[in-house]
Amino acid sequence: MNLIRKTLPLALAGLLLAGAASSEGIDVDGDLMRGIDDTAKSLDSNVAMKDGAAAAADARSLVETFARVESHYGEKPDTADAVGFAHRTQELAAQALKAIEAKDFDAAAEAVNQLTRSCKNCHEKYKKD
Amino acid sequence: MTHSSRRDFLGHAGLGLGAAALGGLGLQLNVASAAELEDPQAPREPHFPAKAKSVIWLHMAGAPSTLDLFDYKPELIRLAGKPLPDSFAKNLKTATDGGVGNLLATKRTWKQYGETGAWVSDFLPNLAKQVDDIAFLKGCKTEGATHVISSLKLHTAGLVPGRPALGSWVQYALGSANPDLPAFVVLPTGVGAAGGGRGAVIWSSGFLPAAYQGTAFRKGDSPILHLARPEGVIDTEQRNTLDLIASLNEHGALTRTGDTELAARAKSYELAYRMEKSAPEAVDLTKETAATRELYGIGAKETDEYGTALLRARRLVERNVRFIHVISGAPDASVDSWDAHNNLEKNHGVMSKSVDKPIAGLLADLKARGLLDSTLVVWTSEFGRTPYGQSGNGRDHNPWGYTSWLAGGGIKPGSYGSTDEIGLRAQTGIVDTYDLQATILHQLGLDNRKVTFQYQGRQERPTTVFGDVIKEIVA
Repeated sequence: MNLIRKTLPLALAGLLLAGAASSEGIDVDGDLMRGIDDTAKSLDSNVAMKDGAAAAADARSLVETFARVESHYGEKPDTADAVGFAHRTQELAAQALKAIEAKDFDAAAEAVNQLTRSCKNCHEKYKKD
Repeated sequence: MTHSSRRDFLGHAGLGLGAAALGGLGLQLNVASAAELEDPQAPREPHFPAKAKSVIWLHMAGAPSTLDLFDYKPELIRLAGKPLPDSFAKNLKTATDGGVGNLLATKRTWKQYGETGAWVSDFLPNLAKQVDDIAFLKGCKTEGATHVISSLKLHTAGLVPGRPALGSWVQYALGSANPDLPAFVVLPTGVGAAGGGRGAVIWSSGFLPAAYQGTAFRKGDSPILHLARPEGVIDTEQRNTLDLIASLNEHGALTRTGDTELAARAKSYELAYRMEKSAPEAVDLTKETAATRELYGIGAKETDEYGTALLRARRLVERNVRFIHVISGAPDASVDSWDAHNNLEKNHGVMSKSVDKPIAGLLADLKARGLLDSTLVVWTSEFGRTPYGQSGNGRDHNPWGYTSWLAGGGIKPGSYGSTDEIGLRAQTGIVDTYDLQATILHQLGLDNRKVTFQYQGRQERPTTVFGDVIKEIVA
């Protein structure tokens, strides 16, 4: 069970109930990144084990999360690169999902490989040392 | 108990291990048959033809300043004594005691060497003569600011204990090419254990079966503690004792199926029995010529211990040991390790002298014996050191940019990547530890994404979900 699937809906629901949801709709912080990291590793593992249902759930979770990350950065100035990274990673998660649904696990594995590279590329620029 | 029943037990013990391994084994590991997994030491085929048969990993524990060894920075010399410019400091999270000091210039004399024109400081005059066999990775980076965390990442691809060392993955994937010696040998050197990140946790088999952990060889003629048969005990008595122990273990194993610790211990008794002869012979340097011993600096106070370890490493390579992990240590009590938070000149003077001649000797010796082509020599550390000073005359930990190097084993010599103008951060040709690990596995004929082991419901890999082969340095 990955962290994002468990915590993201709860966190968002809590924020909405409290009427305190930020305009960005998501906090891009260390917790979120650790959740993404865990989901990406879970996706990688589930693709390797050809567990289509679990892999698809992970991929969907990443597509949704990166859509929110893209939206978050889209509302901030001077973040074109971050928007681009988030968009690219979202596309790769969607590509993985499509391959998983087609039961093409080799193609899914390649998409996940590209996805983790995209994560690293973004970290090179944005992760604070 | 008869030998036959003992063998049966060991077969079953192996089967237990094999079953455990099969349970955890990724489908993609290129194993010819399940029978090969009955013995964790049984040789297994790589994914593709290997360029290297063995790896000698030279871990510079404590983290040398590659700004004072390989990464020549005229701009740092020009800016010496000034505060770290804001343009370099942006987003830098430092943990230096007493704050970030002013920029500290290297005090060394630098020259370019060989046809590749590699810069090497006068700390390493002997190694400087070998640069044409070396691929320098000048844009290395990692994570963490403490020795333990970064050393774990370097050796196990994890930031906390529990993951297998790279040598364990290699042994798991390829088995052993010599049934009488461990496939993963560790040669710790030096006095003390200062600096952290150099203990057994960096050669642990982690979640892999225990049989794959590194075997630490001691200094001296008896490399493994209690390996020699005790005085007054004859071979038959020892054999009978081992058979009795095997019998008891067999009994215990009946109620502990899948207990890899027990199975590994049963296997290790037999391996130890065989090693009574093979291990002392492997590290017996008396048959080496005086010239060879001198080449490694054996006999000279400053280089004797490290040179001895490297000559042992060469002998282990000759005996087809796959992965030899040599951990540097201080040759005497005047310094702790490479960890020069202060008095870097003195520290690196001592440490450089202890490794320079032995490493140069190792490369030259391997080459002269035709072994360098099939032996991958890796020189690296948990991180580098900062261009800004600490304590006035030392440097702090720098995970953002430093140099490692590889030689032999199908690696193309030259220089790859760079740090920024002052040597703070990797700027081009960035190599993370995952990439270094992936490249080492690649040279051994292994695809880092296809070596897998199922643990706690996940397919684990040696380099986690990261790791790209540094194709630019592969010959």
